[in-house]
Amino acid sequence: MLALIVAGSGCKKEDENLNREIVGLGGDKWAETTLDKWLFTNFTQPYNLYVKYRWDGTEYDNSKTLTPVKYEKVQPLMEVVKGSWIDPYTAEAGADFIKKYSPKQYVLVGSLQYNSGGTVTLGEAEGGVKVTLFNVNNFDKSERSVAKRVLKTIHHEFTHILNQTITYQKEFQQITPSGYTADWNNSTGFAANGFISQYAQAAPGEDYAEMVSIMLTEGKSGYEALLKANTSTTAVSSIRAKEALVVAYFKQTWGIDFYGLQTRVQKSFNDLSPINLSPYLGFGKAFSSVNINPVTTTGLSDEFTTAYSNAKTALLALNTTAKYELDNMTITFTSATEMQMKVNFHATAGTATGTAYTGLFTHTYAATGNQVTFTATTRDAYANVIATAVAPLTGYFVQSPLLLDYFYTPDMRVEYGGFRKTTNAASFTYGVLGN
Amino acid sequence: MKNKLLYIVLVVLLMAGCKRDTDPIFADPDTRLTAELVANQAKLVAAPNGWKATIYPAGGKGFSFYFKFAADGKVDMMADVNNASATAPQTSTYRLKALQRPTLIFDTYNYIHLIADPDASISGGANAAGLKSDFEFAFAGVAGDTLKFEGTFYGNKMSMVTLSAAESQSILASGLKTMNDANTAYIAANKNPYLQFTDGTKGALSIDPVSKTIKLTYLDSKGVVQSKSVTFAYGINKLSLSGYLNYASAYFNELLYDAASKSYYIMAGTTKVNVQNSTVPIIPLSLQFGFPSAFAYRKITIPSTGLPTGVNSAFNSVYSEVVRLFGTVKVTSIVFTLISNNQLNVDVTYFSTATFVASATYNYNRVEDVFTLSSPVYNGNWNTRATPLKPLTDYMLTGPFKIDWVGSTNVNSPLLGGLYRTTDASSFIYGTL
Repeated sequence: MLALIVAGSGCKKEDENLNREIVGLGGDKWAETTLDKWLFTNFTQPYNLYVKYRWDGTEYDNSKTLTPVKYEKVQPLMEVVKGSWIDPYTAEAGADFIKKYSPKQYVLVGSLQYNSGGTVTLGEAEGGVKVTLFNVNNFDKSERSVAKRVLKTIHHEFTHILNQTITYQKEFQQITPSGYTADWNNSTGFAANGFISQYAQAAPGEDYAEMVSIMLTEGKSGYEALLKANTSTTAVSSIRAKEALVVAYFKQTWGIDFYGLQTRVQKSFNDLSPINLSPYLGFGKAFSSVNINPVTTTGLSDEFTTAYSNAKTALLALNTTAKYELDNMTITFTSATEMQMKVNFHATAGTATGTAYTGLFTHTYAATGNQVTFTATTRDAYANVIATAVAPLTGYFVQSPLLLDYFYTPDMRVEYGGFRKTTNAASFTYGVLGN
Repeated sequence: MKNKLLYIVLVVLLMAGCKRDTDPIFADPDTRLTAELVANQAKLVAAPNGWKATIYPAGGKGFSFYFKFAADGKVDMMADVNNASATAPQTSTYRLKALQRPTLIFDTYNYIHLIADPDASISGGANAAGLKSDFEFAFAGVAGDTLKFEGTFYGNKMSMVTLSAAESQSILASGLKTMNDANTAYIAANKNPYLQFTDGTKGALSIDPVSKTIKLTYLDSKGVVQSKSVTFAYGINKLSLSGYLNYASAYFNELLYDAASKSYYIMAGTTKVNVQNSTVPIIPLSLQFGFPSAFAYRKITIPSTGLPTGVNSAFNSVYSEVVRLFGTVKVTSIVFTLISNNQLNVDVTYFSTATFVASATYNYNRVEDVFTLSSPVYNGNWNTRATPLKPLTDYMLTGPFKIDWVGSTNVNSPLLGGLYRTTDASSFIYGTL
């Protein structure tokens, strides 16, 4: 009897199938396109970073009207993301850095996000996991200003993630403590108050992200141009102080050489979205001179190096007593039409040993876009003395119209400005930009 | 024995308590949902010539779309949004997803997103909201060959009908643009289109291609203006309306276009009613002419260029005589204005050595559309210029006058209004309104 009860109480469980399909489990699925494959190979597989470009209503602020991305915009945009964001960090901080700290999801939105105050949102970072990029449909690689805005958003949001992981120095917000305001979009005169951009006034964290993203995307020359345009010396010193803290933070916290990172971002960005140097190098611009010295600057083209060493040899033989040594040369844009080429040399023997001389070769120039054509006009007394000897060198600059261009050292530590022959792209020279 | 029985009852109860009937009545919900999505996609892909969809967004206007769904998640699209969208198909992606309901999502940008774009310069709506259109649509039902959808964000309805091979080819051959152009030409050639209903009532149809609206306006039996507005989308040889327009029992939701006669018609039930064109507007001017600001018009102007062309009235000679008598003094304008609920001014502006205005003020008594003028008061300038103004002074005393539209043989003429002598309808003052 008892056995019967026990047997009866062992309830019969029906075979419930727990191994069944659940709709939507594992995310959306669709026929894989070439774009999906490309994104997988370049982002998901190496960096565990998922790029969500197809519309998914659950990812956005549902009080806002937004639109999906244009399919054809995704790859060009993500090429810039990879080339000018991931690759520079990987090169500076190692492959694991991006894997560890990058957001795990990029959500792309076609339109801007319009906010109630009349502002628009370009990007958002959420808890270091997800970055939403807006305005993808207006992305155009060939339009530098548009591409720069997107790249800046990426660097801006990533800076937030770095800051959220290890916070920045508390001194930072003490540099311009009274300038922060929630009403930043109506606050004019940010430059005079020591801010790099209008949005930098929103909060110290935004200021930090703006500093980083602007320095990286503008590059050295663009950043210097911004500061040069700032007429307030106190404001400039505030920004410089912020810059120093940013550089120190990257070095001490992450072991990253910030200027190296900056150069790498610029190098790749200039390749992807070409820019010329002409807005930054010239009379009255951020830089007005280039100092060329093959001894300290390596990588100059063979043609120029040969011309330089020929001039050096001839100069040494010019005066057997003084034995002039060619030091370097500087090309300075002194007016809208005049260029001065200074050839610096010094005596290595005789009574004048150690005396430095400068031969001044004045040129006129005509510039269209980033192309300049130099024409030699007058020479001063020293120039007359050495003219024949250094003719191979001075002649290099008048043989063909030249293109202004950026150059980089192989280790990406320094950004140079220089000239490339229009008739021969393999012939170029460059040096340190200055005033 | 009694105990035994109790045990048996207990055992039976225990076993009965074990029976768990948790199986869903139908199959597993996830399985059904998957099947539903697969079936829906199959339905979308199955239309060999694609679909025609219409959306009338909450933010205004109406739009037609051509969709051709492919099994690999691509969709070809055309639309009457702009010139490019009506002439060249564009490919993007779509997918079906189980949200609250099975949902069709156009998940990368195409023509359908133009009207939803929060950038006002793209959507033609407002910044931040666009035209409040949708691109995520839940399946909402089937009616005959029509699939019904409902937008998940703004709740706009979209209906999708399979296309025949001929319709499909027509749309792909820029048919929506052709209809758009035909409509533009129609509006230019037909200033006052109207429908004449069986009881003789005329209903004015005003087609506005900018806001994509059609308004039907008519006078009801009590002489009160009734109007109803709907938005429209271009179709092949038709305008598809967002809802029904009607006069009495004559309902229509399409304005059909006859390309041969370049004119519109409607099908009220099985009755074909042609849209006709009138030289003057259908709604009488008297209902829109008066002093209070509720009225659209309160004055009639003869501009410096003279009387509007293309009109034959006995007043023409009065006007030219006034101008002739003024001689070298230039008549800049003559304006007939209601300056209050009982006074009308006639202002003659002329230039001799400087600009002067000669004014005559009349009391008027209005009975419906008839104005009876009395007690003229002339100002100093009028008295100074009494001789050249005499033909006009005399004419003003030949009333009463009836206000009404004036038709012109000039097709490009602006709207004209006139004051007709009640005793002689061929004699009337007229000008722009």
